This record gives sequence, structure tokens and C-alpha cells, in this order.
Amino acid sequence: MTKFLHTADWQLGMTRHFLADEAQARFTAARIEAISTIGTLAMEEGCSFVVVGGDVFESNQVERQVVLRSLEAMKSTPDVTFYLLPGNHDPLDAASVFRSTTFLDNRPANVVVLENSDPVLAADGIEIVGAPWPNKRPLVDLVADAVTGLPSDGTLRVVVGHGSTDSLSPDPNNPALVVLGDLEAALAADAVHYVALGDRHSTTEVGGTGRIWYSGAPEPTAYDEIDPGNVLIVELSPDSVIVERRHVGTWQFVRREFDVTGSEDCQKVEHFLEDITDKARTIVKLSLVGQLSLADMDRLEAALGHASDLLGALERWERRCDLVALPDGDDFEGLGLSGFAAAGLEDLRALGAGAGEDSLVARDALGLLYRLARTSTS
Amino acid sequence: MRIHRIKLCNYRGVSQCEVTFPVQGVTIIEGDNEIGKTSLSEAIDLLLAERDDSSKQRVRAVKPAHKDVGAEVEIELSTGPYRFVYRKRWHRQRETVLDILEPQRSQATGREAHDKVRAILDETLDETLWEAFRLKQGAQLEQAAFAGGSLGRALDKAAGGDTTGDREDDLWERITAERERYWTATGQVKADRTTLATRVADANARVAALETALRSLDDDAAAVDRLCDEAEVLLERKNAQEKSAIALVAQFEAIQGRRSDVARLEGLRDTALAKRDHVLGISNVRAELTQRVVDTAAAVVELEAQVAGARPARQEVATRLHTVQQEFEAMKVESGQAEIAQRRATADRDFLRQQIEVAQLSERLARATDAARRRSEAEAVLDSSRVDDALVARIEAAGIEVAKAEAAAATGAATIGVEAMADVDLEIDGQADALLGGTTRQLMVDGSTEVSVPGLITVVVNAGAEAQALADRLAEARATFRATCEEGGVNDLAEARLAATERNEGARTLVETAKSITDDLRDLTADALAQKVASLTARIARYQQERPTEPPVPATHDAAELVAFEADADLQRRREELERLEKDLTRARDDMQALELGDASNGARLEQAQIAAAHEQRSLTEARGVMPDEAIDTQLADAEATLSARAAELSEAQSQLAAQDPETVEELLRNARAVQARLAGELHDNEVNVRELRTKLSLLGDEGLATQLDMAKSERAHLTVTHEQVEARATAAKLLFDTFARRRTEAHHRYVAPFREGIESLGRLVFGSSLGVELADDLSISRRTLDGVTLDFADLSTGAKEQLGMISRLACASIVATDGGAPVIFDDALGWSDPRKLERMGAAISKAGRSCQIIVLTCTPGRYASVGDASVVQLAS
Repeated sequence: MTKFLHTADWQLGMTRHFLADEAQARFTAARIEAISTIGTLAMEEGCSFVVVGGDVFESNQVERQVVLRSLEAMKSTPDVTFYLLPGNHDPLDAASVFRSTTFLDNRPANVVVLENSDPVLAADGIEIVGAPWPNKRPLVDLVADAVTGLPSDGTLRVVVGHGSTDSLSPDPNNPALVVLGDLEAALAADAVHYVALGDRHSTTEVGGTGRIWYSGAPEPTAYDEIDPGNVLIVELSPDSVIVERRHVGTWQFVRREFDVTGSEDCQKVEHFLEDITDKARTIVKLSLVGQLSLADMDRLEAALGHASDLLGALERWERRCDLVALPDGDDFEGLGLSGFAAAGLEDLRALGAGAGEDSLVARDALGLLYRLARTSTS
Repeated sequence: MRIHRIKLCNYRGVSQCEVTFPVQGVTIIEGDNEIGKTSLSEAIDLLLAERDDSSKQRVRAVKPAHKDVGAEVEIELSTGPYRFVYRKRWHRQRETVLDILEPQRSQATGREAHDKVRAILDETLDETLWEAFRLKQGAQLEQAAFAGGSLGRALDKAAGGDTTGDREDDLWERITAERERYWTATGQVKADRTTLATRVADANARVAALETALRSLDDDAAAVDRLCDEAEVLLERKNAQEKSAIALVAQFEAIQGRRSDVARLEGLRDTALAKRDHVLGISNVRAELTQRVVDTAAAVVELEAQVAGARPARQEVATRLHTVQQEFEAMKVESGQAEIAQRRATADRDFLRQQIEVAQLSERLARATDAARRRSEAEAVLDSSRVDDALVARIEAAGIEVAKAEAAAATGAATIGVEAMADVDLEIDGQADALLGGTTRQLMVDGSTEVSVPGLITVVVNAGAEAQALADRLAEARATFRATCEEGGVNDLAEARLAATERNEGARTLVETAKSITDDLRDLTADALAQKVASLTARIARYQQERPTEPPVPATHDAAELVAFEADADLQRRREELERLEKDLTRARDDMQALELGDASNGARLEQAQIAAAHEQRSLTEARGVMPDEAIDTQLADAEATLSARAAELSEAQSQLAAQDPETVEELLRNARAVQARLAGELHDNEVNVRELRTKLSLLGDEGLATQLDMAKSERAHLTVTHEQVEARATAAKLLFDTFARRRTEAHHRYVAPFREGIESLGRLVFGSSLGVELADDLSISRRTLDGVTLDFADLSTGAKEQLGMISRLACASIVATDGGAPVIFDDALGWSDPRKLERMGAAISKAGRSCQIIVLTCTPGRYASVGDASVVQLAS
């Protein structure tokens, strides 16, 4: 019976453009932190080793600091061996990060790169067979190749692979698709006993054997992930397997849509933002659709500005057109404009009522007028 | 406000003055200077502004100088709803009285009254306007500032109540300021925006560059993989190549073996060839020698024949030679003889000729001598003759003179006629002259003539003076005659004539003889001629002596010539013959010589040919002794046989070699080696490339390009968003500004329209129908357009400025009149305008007067004469 930890898709060195420098720094740090967390967890759970199923690094051309820091993090738990598999982001090609001087010079003893499909003895009676990506576009099912010809001789074998599986993402044009059938056959033949996959960032079970899993990324990376932030603790014995999910992620990506047509809706948005816990490590994307009066718009803007200072990042509506500021009579009446000002106001209103680029500009002008007029009177 | 009535008492120099004004229309107050016109205007100000206890200078100034009383001003005016009478007295017995008539009757005095009036005015009067409507002489070339104030309000109202206030103006300023954040005054993009746009562009560029670098890096990584695959392929090929090369090498060696065989056989063949050639050479030599023997023998035979054939010809030539020689000799002799004959004939001829010549010459000489003699005779004559024709003529003339004189004397002179009755001996002038009896002698008395009979009588007759004169003359003439005759050595004319004739003859003879001498002597002197004659004579004599008698000398010179001629011809003939014969002779001799030479050479040749033939024969005999002809033939046959055999062997070996296709094998082998070399090269290059790429990748790997790219993208996203936002704000600010500006300008135009139209309507009366004006924001006139020409107000003439200034006030007054306004007061304005303009201004003032109250103060009545509908008030002191 062996216990090990299955993780993948660390994508160290990942940046998100919507993060301001300060938030980006924290984001990056969190992802390195995750390594230590994993190491510590592995030790606490008595795992013999950790397999990282591909995409350890965001790219083969990440900066040195990322490589050094991650190796240092892995080094901090020297009793746990990390088996790293080159994936599609960090394939084992001529420019591979795993063969760079920085990596080679600083690799601690407990970090092993699976450079080919030769079985590696990880602990007593258990072998690891990796299917590393040799380049960015392999033309064959690497996992199937790695599995071919493995004997069923009683040795427990863990296959580490990376990529899409045909059952989850069928695509006749992808030659590198991992074929589920071959894996299940190998499992049935007792040649392999667990398949640790990477590439999907959400923890996902594949097939019905219970032995083929995507561990998912330890920290979320995007809004559309169903179940990120986990690692899998696997207890493997010749005839049974127990897979336990553990959450290690600290950040969250939240996306919400709101229909906004009045001050009540604005309040809803405000409440939603206020209610977020751990704002500093939350990335929020808001999709706002509707129209507001200028006054409400102003207020909403203020609320969003306030929220973006607190949150890790606040991504606003991607396209301005989703939320429209339509000035109503109230907006301007209080200002009591007359004469040419009133005439000008009417012109802008008329222009802003239509659709198209000019109307957008007109509405912006109205917003500006509103602000300027308010400061005049006050 | 309207002024109804002003009254001045003891105001400056005015003791009393009261003027009533109609509420509307033009009132012209005329009066001389110092009559108090300006005082009227001043008084209003003083009344309204200064309290009765004011000690200001301007108050003190109005106190009458000649009376100790206070100045008084009373005014009745309406303003707003109020109408009141207001009176003040300063200086002495100060007083302020206010009597409000409308809306409610009330009174006030003193300070209260003053304050009340001030309050009323504050409430109802636009002070600025009131000030602006006071047009003083020479002061108002600036424009009135009507902006704001009651004109503004009136215009506002006229514009339909759509007025704007400070709020709108403030807002407008903010809008302008907002626009200025993004745009320059001229509508260009402000620098920061451009900078921002540049930064966005730069960020894009940086992202692109990094992406390119990463792509290139990927390409390099892929290239390494590819190169490694290639290396494998190359290696395989190299091994295959080496295997195939081995077989070729074996083939090649075999061929080399054959080649050496061929070479050896070639050598043998060459030797056989050499030997055969050698024997062939000997055989040829023998044949040649044999032939030469034959040839030389034949030559000898030929030459002998030639020699024999030459003899007869020679004989013939010799004979000819001899004949010719003889003839030649003969002719020579004859020739000599002919020559002698010829010489003799010539000499004869010459001799005869000489004889003739001598005769001729002698003749000539004789003639010449004779002529010489005659000549000397003539010369002698000439020498002695003293009379020439001229002298003769003179003598003749003198004779004539004498005759004349005689005649004259005879006629004039006394004559004595002596008649002798018997013979008598007379003496005439002492000259005995016998007279025979019966003869008469006429005597002329010249001077005095004495006729005497000697011993008897002497008669002296003296000629008279005249007769004397005549006698003198006669004597003179006679003297002359005598002298002349003496000159010539003659006695009278006849002698003279004779002498002259002799002389002439002599001269003629001289000439004749000279000619004769010349003819005869020709170019010789007489002596020479004589000498010649002598010599010739001598020669003749000699010849006669020497000449032999036979053949006889020809008789005549002609005959001699003939003989000479014939002798010449004969000689010539013989000489020619001689020449011909000489030529023949020479020819014959040449022929002979040639033949002899020929003979000699032929002989020599024959000798040589014989020697040669003998020599050749000897050689042949010797050679045959050493090796007979047959032996040579045999040797030759053997050598030929050997050669054929060797050649056949060689040919066989060569064809076998060719069958192996050696070139192809060689070529293949060379190619195989080349391919190997190339493969080695390619492998090497591949290695080098891979090494280079790996180095490059490892270096680039350290740079963390992916991270850089992410950061660049992030920055770009931020910048882009910011840029878009800024641009959106800029566009909005511009739209807002433009919209409001447009509306504002419209409003302004609408707003000022009544005012502008008012000005234009009055102005057209003055300037013409093409007048147009533009108003600035402060309602001053900014530009005037007239007849299509637009000028800024500042650029107009002084007169035009003055006129427009007045017109704008009039227009303003007309507009504000409905709402109160104020009276327009001109204090002798329009000083700058010309009479024509004045006339028109009058019309304008008149027109304006229909809607407001206009008061004109002037000391020049004519100035405002053209203001129709005006009430005129004359101020008199």
C-alpha cells in the first residue's frame, strides 16, 4: 500500500494582465506557496512522493527567479520526492526549462524530471512511468505508447501523463489525444494501477475505473473552472485505490452578471461586492447589463472604484455597451439650466438617444455635463 | 428715466433758466458758449449725486461768482413708477426738497430726500447705461460697454425670456476648461494624449517584439529536433555509402591490372615497329642509290648530244662577223674622203664670200671717208658763217625799218632835189657825188645835209626837229641795220641771205653726212672698218696662195655654196652608213661571244656529269658488296611479320580492357568518394548548427522571455484601457464643448439681433444700404461691413467711429426705452463728421427720437439742422 500525492498544472510563472503589480506579486507568491503547502501536506499524510502531471512551469521561457524559487520550495521538504512531468506548456524540447542551466544547477536531490517512459522506481514495489511531452505538438498518444509493453508482474505502477482524453474532449484531429480505452485495458491487465493526468485545471475523474484522475491545478487560474484548487491524496494497493480530494487553493475567481436598471440593482451589486470574503485574494469579473440614470451611474462607479481597491482585481464590463447611462429628466432638472445650456443639453440628449458610435460619445458628453454642472451649482 | 423739466437758478453764470422736455423725441437746445448748455447736463449730475452740504470742488465751482447766493437746480423726472420733483440749493441756504408725485404723493427734505432719490434711482435706473448715454464733445470715441445691465436685460427679454445667467456662464467656463485638458486652442490633440498614444504603440511594439522572439525561440527548438533527426538520416546514408564503395574499389583494382597489361603489350609493339622502320630505311637507301646511278648516266648522254649540236651555229656566226668587218673598213675610208671634199667646198665658198665682203666694206669705207670730208667742210662753213636764218630775218627787219624810216624821213623830211642841168660834181655831205646833167637827185635831209658844189656853193639844209627826229630815227635804223649786218659779217641783206643759205646748206650737209657715216660705219669706227678691210684682204690673199688648183674653185659664190651643200650631204650619208655597219659589227661580235661561252659551259658540265656517274656507280658496287639487295628484302619481310603479330596482341588486350568499361567504374568510384565527403561535411555542419542553436537556446532560456511577454502584455492592456478612456473623455469633452459653443453663439446672435438690427437700421441711413455690423460679446461693435469691405472697428476713420458710437447709443436707447432706460444727452457731439454725414445723422437721430428721449446741446445750430421732428429751445442770456 502506497500513499502519494497527485497534483498538476502548477503553471509557475503565470501572469494575469488584469492584476495590478501588487496583486500580481501576491498571486505569484501564492502559487509558489502552494508548492510548500503541497510538500508539507505530503509529509503530514505520509506520502512517499508527489507526482506533478505536466505544466509545472507556465512556459519553457519563464524567468530564472520563478525556477529558483520553485526549486527552493521543493527543496524545503527534502524527504518528499517530486516527480515532474514535462507537459504542453513546458515540453522537453531543445529549449526546455528542465534542461536549462538554472534548473540543472539548482535542482535539489528530491526533484526528479521524468524525461522518458522508462519506469522509475519511486519506492518499494512501485514504479512511476511518465509520458513526457517531447515538443509542443506530439503526433501520437504518448500515454498509450508509454503503457505499451508494460508487464503485469506484480509491481505497482503509476502512469503520469498530460493532455486531453478522448472521452472528455473528443477531437478527431488531435493525434495526441489520450485514448481512454487503452488505459482501461492496461488497468484491466494489471500492468498499471493508477493514471495521474494533468491538463484540466478542475479535479476530474475519467472513466469509471476510479483510477484515472485529473488532479486539477492547486490554485485557480480562470473564471470558468469548476473545481480548482485541489490536490489528490491517493492510497494505492494492488487491488484497491482510495482517492481523497484536498483543497489547497487560497485565491478565488468569481464572475457574476447583473442586470442593472435602477438604484435598487445598483445596491444589489454593492452588496454582492461587500459580501465577498478575503477580498484581497479574490478576482471578480462583473458583467453589467442595462441602463442607469446619470446619478445612479455615478454612484455605481464610485462603488466599483471602492471595491477594486479592496479586491485582488475587479474586471469591469468588457464592453461599454453593456451598461448604458441614459440621463433622465431628474438628472438635469435640479441643475436648472437655461438658455443655450438648455438647448445644448437637448441636443446631446437627442444625439444620445440613438445607437452607434456618435450616440455613445453623446452619452459620455452628457455624463460629463452632469458632473460639471453639479460642481457648478454646489 | 425721463427728464421733464430742468430749472437752474444762480448756477454758475446762469441766473435763471428753465427748459421743458417732451417725454419722447429730440430736443435741441441751442445757445452760444457759456450760456449754460453744459451746465444743464452738469446740473443733473450734481443734483443727483451731491448732497446739498457737499464741499467738493465741483459743487463749489457752480456757485455764482458775482452773487452771494447758492446755486439751485430743480429737476422733474420720471423713473420706473416714480415721478418727482427734486430741488437742491448749495452754498447758501442749503436745501434739498423732494416732492414725489407718483405713484404716491409724498415729500421729503434734506438728507432723507437725497437718500430717497438715491434709493429710487438704484431701484429703477441703470447707472452704467445712463453714463453711456451722455455723449460729450470729443470724448466718446470709445464704445459704450452695454453688456450686462439694462440693455442686456432688454435684449434678454427681446430674445424671448430665454436668458442665461451666471450659472450657465460658470458652466460654460468649466466646459471650456474640461476641453482644454484634452485639446489645444486650435483643436489639436494635446501632447499628453499623443504621448499616451505613443506609449500604447510602444507597448504594442514591445509585445510584438517579444512574441517574435519567443516564436523564433520555438522555431529554434523545433529546428534542433529536426536537425537531430537529419543527423540520424545522414549517418545511415554514410554507412550505406561506405558499403557500396567497397565493391567499386575491387572493380577498380581489376581494371588497373588490365591497364598495366595493355601498357606492356604496347611497349612490345613499339619495339617491333621501330625495328621494321629501321630495315625499311635501309631498303629505301639502296633503292635510291640504284636510281641515282641510272640518272647520272642518262645525264651524261644528254650533255654529249648538246655539245655536238652546238658547232654549226658557231661557224655561221664567224663568217658573218668577218663580212661585216670588211664592209665597215671600206666605208670608213670613203667617209674620210667625203670629209675632205666637204671641207674644201666650204672653204671655197667662204673665200668667195669674203671677196664680196671686202668689196662691200671698201665701198663703205670710201663713202664714209668722203662723207667725213664733206662734213668737215660743212663744219668749216658753219663755223665761219655767222649768219643764220634768224640773223637774216633781223637784217631783213632792220632793212625794212630802214626803208620805213627812209620813207618817213622822205615824206617828212626835207628833201633836196637837185637837178643837174649840166654835169656837176657835187658833194653831198662831203661825199663827192657827180651828177650828170639832166639827172635829178633826191636827197633827204636828215639833220643836216650839206650839198655843195665844191668851190661854189654849199647848201646846208637843216632838217626841222621833226624831220630831225625822223632823221634820227632813220639814222638809228641805218645804224641798227649796219650793226646787224656786221654781226653777220655781211654788208647787206643779199649777202646775208646768201650767207644764210650757205650756212643752211652746210647744216644740211652736216646732217646728211652724219647719216651717211652712220649708215656706212654701222657699229664700227672708221678705223675698225678699215682694219677689217685690211684683214679680210690679207686673208683672201693668203687663201689664194694656199689653194691647190685642182679641183678648181667655183666661179661664183652661189656655185660654191651648191658644191658645199652637196659635199655636206654626201658626207652625212657616208657617216650614217658607217654607223649602221658599226652596229652590225657589234651584234655579230656579241653573238660570237655567246656561242663561245655556251660551248665552254657545256663542256664543263659534261665533264662533271661524267665524274658524278662514275662516283655513283662506285658507291653502288661497294654497297652491294657489303649487303646484297636480296638480304635487305628478307630482313624487311621478317620485321613486318613481327610487327603484325605484336599489333594483333595489343589490340586484343585493349578490347578486353574496354569491355570492362573502365571510365564508368572510375567515375562511379570518384562519385562515391565525393558523396562520402559531402556526407561528412553535412554531418559536420549539422553538428555545428545543433551546437550553436543549443547555446542560443540556453542563453535565451535564462532571459525568461515568457514572463517578460506576460508583463509586456499586462502593461499594454493597462495602457490601452487608459488610452481608450482618455480618448473617450476627450471626445466627449469636445462634443460637449462644440454643442454648447454652437448653441451659445446662436443664442448670442439671437440675443444681440435686435440691438444689431437697431444699429444697422439707423446706420443705413448714414452709411448706405450695404451697412452691416458685427457685435462682440460685450455688445460693442467689433466690425463694420460696408460695400462688401469689412473692417475692425479700431480701423475705422474717426468720423465713422463717432457716428457708429452715437448710433449704437441711439439704438440701445430705443431698445431700453420700453423698459425705462434713460434719456440720451449729446453735448455738442459729432464734431468729426462731415456735412453730408451730419445731414444723415440728423435723420438717424430723428428716427431714434421717435422711440426715446434725446436731448441735444449745441452751440452750432447748423449741426443739427437736419434733425426733423425736433423741438428747438433757444437759450439766451
